[in-house]
Amino acid sequence: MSTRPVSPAPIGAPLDLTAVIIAFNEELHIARCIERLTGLAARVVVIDSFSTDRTVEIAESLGAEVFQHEFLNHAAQFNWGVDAAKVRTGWVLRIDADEYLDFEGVRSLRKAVAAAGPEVSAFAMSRGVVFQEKRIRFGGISQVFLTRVWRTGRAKVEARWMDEQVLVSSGKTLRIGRGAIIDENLNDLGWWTAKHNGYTTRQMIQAMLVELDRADAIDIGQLNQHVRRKRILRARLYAPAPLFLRAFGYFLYRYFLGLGFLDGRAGFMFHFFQGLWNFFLVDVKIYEARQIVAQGGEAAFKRWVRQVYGIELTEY
Amino acid sequence: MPERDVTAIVLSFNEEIHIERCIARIRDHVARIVVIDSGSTDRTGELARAAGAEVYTNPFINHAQQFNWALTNVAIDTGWILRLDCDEYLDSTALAWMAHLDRLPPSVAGAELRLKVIFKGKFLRFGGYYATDLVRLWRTGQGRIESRWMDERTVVDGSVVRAPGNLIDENLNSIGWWTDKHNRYASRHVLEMTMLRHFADRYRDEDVRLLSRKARLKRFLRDRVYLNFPLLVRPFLYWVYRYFFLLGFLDGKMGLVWHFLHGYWYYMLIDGKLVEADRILARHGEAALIEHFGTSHGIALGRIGDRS
Repeated sequence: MSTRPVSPAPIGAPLDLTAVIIAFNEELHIARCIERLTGLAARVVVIDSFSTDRTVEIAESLGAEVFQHEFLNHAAQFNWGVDAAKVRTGWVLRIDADEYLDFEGVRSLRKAVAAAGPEVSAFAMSRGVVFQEKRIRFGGISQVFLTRVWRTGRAKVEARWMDEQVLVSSGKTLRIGRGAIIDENLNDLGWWTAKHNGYTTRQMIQAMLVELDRADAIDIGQLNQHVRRKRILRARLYAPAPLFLRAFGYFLYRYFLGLGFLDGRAGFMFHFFQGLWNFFLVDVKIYEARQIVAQGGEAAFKRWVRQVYGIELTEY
Repeated sequence: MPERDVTAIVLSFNEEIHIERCIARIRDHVARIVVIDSGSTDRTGELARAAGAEVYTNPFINHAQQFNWALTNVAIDTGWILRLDCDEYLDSTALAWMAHLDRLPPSVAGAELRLKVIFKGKFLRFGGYYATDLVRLWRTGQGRIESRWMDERTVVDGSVVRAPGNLIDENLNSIGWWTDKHNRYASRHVLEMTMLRHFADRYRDEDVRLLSRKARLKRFLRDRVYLNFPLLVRPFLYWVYRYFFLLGFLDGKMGLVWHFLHGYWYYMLIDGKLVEADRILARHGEAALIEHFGTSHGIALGRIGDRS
């Protein structure tokens, strides 16, 4: 575990903000996430999908409110949570249980929200990734800005099976230039692999729903600039490229042009597993799904997703 | 009609997708089919019985231990034993050959079958993948499985002939299932490699002398050569060797998928897990590593070096 400095005393009163955390069996991370929000957020709400470990107990002991709901996907869970918690604060913060705000991020978020004029609807924050105890700085990983804070009612999480982003309906989205939300999962590589096996299934579902013309179209103008650019590149460059080869192409781009090789050994592991294997596996799953669709159409695809992956597509 | 003098022993866990195919293809060629199930939660046991197999249940520790349990606990009254996995079957040439085991001289104790892997309908001919011969048939009482966590071979007391035909491995599950399986397999490899890397005095390989020359060479290349190449770099070298030098690219699109996932990703996963195991051992010692194998890899150990 990396060493982190001792938490500084919170400066000033909590912000008029509710932090919403989606959790399932997060006893390893939930305290770290909540502790950074104590004193910063007026309310901390955990939306738990019936954890079987000590997640709920730990969250409650740290003053968070816990709501439980069966998980379908991240987007649906988050939007349910905001409603169920009856958020009445002026602002909402979206953060995952295995993420936490770094101290710079705590300070700059506090400043930014306090100074926000009425035209500002949301803030995008930098996301830092720590993998195998090392901060990943290259390969484009440290330049990711995600909309994570918004005025209650002015944004929602888009309905997608994976990579769901925040859609802001009106007003400006500003970048918080300093500090970051750090994604540092402390589980081992076997766990990470199993998690990404699940994620790639969701990526495949999302891609197939687009192919079957069943995905909701969104107004990409509601995405922040960074995410919008990525979404366009993905649709125009990545999606039309041949399966499997595009995963190698993306990895080569990220590892060499994006200087990913400067991240050292842990960085190589991250760029290989997350940037190559993960994308390659999505393509294998798409290849399998296309065969099912070719044989039995959309109905067969939905049946297959239910039988093989235990995901019910009719509900959504 | 020659006498059927073979008992097929099949290990299973949640194999309802394959068990009927497995039994149906071998039923008319053996005297008995014995399924050793390790507590399937699907209909494996029921389907196996309905298809004509005898089903035993025993908790699973590893493949070797489970198979050897069968050899000790099932009263086998045939002259020969066939070791078969649920997702495997013999082709017609091998089956026809098996009908004439009585013609073999008594000095022959076992027979090797050529492993032929079919991945998503594609026979993988290249990349060194159609070159493995496995002893799967042996005289009752003259063979057992090596005690290892992974890559356990059959060792026999006597000479071995190569049977014609193929042992076909054709798994029908999704790639998601395959990924989970190989995530578990990688853990077992990590355990064997951790013994070799840090507890070499506890690494037992006494049965290696009973293996064929080819199997011995493979074991040597893995344990003594591959293991001395640098971590995280060697999977790439191995993949290049397999995909380019051994012409894996000739296997087409499914060959690309197979050789990348099985020849590169899988070995990267093993090395990644080794990096973690090394870190735990260096920082916290053997007791912490044993605990790590229990909680993270689902392998309960008394000490590093245990194989049952």
